[in-house]
Amino acid sequence: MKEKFVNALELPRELVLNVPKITVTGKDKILIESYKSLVSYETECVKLSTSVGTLSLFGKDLTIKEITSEDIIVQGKVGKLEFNA
Amino acid sequence: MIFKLINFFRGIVHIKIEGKFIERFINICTYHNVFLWDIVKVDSRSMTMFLSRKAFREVDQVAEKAKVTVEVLKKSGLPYILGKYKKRKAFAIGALLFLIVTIYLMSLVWYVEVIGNEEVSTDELLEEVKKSGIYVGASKRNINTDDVISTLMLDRDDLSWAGVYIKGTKVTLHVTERDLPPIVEDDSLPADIMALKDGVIQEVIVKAGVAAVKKGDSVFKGDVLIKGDVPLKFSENKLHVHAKGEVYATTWYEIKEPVPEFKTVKELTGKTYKKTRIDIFGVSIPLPKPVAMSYGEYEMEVLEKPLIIGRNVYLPVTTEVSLYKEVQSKDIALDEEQALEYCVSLIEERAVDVIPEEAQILAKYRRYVYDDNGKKYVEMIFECKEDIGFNVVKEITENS
Repeated sequence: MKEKFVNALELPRELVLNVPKITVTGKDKILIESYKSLVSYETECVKLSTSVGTLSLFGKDLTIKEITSEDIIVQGKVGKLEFNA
Repeated sequence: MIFKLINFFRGIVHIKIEGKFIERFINICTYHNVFLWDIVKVDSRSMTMFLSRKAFREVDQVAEKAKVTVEVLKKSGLPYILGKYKKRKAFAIGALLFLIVTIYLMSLVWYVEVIGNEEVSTDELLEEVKKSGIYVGASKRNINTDDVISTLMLDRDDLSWAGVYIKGTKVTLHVTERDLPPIVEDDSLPADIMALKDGVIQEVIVKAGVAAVKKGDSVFKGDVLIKGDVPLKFSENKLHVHAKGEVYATTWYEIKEPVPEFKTVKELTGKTYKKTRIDIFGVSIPLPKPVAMSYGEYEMEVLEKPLIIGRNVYLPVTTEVSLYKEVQSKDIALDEEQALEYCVSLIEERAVDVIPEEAQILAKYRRYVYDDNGKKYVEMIFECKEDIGFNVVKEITENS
């Protein structure tokens, strides 16, 4: 119902539905907006919990460039993104 | 860039977190709106990260909750730099004092310059504006330039315009002089015109009165040249007027000078000696020199240099350099022609003082004369044309 409403009005989904928005710049910078919390942080893997499940980022030399309650910027050699329900 | 600059002013703390649940620590931080950046995992149990000085105060509480230990690696930014100096009280007081003294000194006048004056002396004008509060060491705030100008213009009638500008610590007084009106002779009293010196009359121009001499007459000092008594046609009595007119006469000036045998010439030896004085707040301090000046004869030059910051900030410090140049007197023997030439030049120099400026030199004669001892002189005669008349007010008796 909510989804149909948002689609019909073409509202920004991430704000209304509170789903994460992931922006990848090049292959070394990932911005994740509206995440919930940081689950684990290793240099090879960063796990975040979001409203749609756990988001895992795999790569090498990963660092957390910035982190606030709203968004997080991960930097490093990013390999892949994975969602686990 | 801006982010870094803001953080520099806020203060940055680089910390190392050690523990089992570092992610928990980060989550609590973000929950409390503590901004973290550049989080790097060092090993399985520790991470390093940056946060602001303000956030750092809350870190201990959060660390306790997350059961991690916090180690400060580095504190940087302006608040920490200032904090270092907080303990050095003397330094802080000194810095503050320096600032206050500088600001105070900048509010004073350190140099007064007078420009545009030719006849009126600079010292006189400086004395004049001193009354209105412009002097070295005066406070700039108390100077009202309009007041200064109006008092100056009211007090002095030899100025036609004055301007005062304050630039930095320098006050410039710019004046323009007024040409004074000629002094009007009081011609209400009857007067004659008399001869001021001996001469032969060349021209008589009478404007009031009756001419008593004519062209070609020889007159002596004190002779009446134009009479103020005008005879009346139908009366025995005379009309007494203030005689006016110009009487041009040929006059002669004799100047004698012994013929010199030699000429004294001063020559620079090329040796110089410098003496420096520093003038601070009117107190002159000579700088010591290892060797004292030993010249018998010397010429001196004084260079004064005020200390200026930029273009307009004059400081109350002046360096005064006295440059002594050694000279040596030398007598040069002169032959007859050179002696005459030198003698004539000496006479010409003296003539400037003797002959009045208004006189027109018509001719110059020169000859050798000898005194009783046989000493040789050059005598020069200057033939001039000049107005020799001057007014003499006389008392009138009824019968004259």
